[in-house]
Amino acid sequence: MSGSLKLLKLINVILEHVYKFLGLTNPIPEVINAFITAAISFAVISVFVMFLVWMERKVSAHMQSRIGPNRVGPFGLLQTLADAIKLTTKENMEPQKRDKIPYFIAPIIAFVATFMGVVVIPLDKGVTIQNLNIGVLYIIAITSFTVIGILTAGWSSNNKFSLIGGFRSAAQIISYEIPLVLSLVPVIMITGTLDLQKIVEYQAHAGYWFVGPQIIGFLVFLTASTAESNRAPFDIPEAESELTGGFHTEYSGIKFAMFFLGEYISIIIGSSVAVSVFLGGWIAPAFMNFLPVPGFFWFVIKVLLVIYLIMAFRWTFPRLRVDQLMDFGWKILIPIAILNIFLTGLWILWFSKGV
Amino acid sequence: MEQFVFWCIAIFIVLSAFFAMIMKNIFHCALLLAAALFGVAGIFVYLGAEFLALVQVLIYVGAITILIIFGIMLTHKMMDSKIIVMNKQVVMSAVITGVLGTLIILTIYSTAHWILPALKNSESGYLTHSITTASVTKNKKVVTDVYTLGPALINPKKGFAFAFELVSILLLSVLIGATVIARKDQEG
Repeated sequence: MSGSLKLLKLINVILEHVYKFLGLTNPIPEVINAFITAAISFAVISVFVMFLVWMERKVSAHMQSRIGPNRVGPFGLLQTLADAIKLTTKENMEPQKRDKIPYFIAPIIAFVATFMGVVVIPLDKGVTIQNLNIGVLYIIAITSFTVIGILTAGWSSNNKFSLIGGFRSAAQIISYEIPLVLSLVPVIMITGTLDLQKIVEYQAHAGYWFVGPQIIGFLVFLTASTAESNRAPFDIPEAESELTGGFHTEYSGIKFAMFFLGEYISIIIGSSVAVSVFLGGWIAPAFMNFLPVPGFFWFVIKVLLVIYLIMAFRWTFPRLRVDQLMDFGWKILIPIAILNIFLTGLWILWFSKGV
Repeated sequence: MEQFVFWCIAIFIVLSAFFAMIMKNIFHCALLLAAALFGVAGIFVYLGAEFLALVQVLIYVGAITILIIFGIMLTHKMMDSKIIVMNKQVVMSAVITGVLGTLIILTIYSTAHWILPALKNSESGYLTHSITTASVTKNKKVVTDVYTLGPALINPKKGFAFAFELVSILLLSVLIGATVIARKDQEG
């Protein structure tokens, strides 16, 4: 049924053969297995990000009645590859009065923190890189590291714009983390688990996706996760017209690429969580159940749809002002999320006659 | 292997905590404090308490350290490298840390009943041998997942529901108080 499961097994079998060939002991040591899995997922994610950057440029072009990249490769698909090569081979410019060590580790923290979230995403039935029974909490906790990376970057660059960008970003991420978590709470209350895989399975058994009964939660989550990944209309941390480049003004070459990659990975993670929790993850839509397609396919399709939505946000809404942003987070999103939790609690009590 | 991991994490925590104390630049201190707290989360994972580890990361690294960094950045002249970070109260601090340290070690030895049998069983007699996850589960079933922790916390009969509510009221009043103070400052 699931082709991706076979794929994972195939990778494992190949690895075992390589091991025997090298004369090493079988089974593979867990540490090495983990490293190889990380490397593979990094490669896959990087290619996916390249595709997303291309998609973003095409979507924006479409919205502004332009053509977008169309010179390098078919439909301009290789444009991002060319850009990536340019970025990685670029000279690494650094301000002389930077704070050396924090300046160096900031992009690493920001990137690694977001990338670690990939681990618990349910790709298909029973297929996760490492299933944790507290997956939702894991993603929330790990991604909160990004703030430290961004603040460090803003501070160590020794630049006013960077510092203000770092401040804004931290304030924004901390504020929007609250509605983000609160919007997930009702689903956790209904399913009674923090395991993303089990949340998807619950939806498969129940026969509906949570986007129906939890439409408020879905909308709050989508808004908050757009803000979490510093994207327009919530991109005040890097507002070009005010702050030149925000917290990454002083970063160039590969270090800038790491921030860039981190931003796109956080979009991927945000939409993957949205898909798993609210849109039924790898479950096929009811009317297309007969198709012999692995669940992974549906997962990717749904993730791409959500990402398209987030991209459409960026190119249709104007940027919020700082005070509007804070007002929106604290005075609208959080009360709505709390109300949603309350209503869900009543709903559970009503239907299950007291749990 | 397990011991090796433990020592790695322990040395990481101790070093980052030490440098968080002696660094001149207070921003570096805050970053190192975050590193030390993250290391503590690592110890929790090592002991098989993933939930506690994640809460540690979420609250201490994700929220409190960032608040500290915010405080440092927003306080006037706090980022100046000339501010005094050290003082000269060697005797007093030695006495206090000594007393606290002895107290903590005594508490560990008198409360952790599962350490002692493992100490007897293990050949080398290292304390770390008993701190591995395997021996924890072997000697006493310690379940630390959410399904046990949640009911244990707010069970009306056996749990700590009253304390839990008390803490929430305290936090709520702190929240309101902070807002009131901040508002007054703005108007005045």
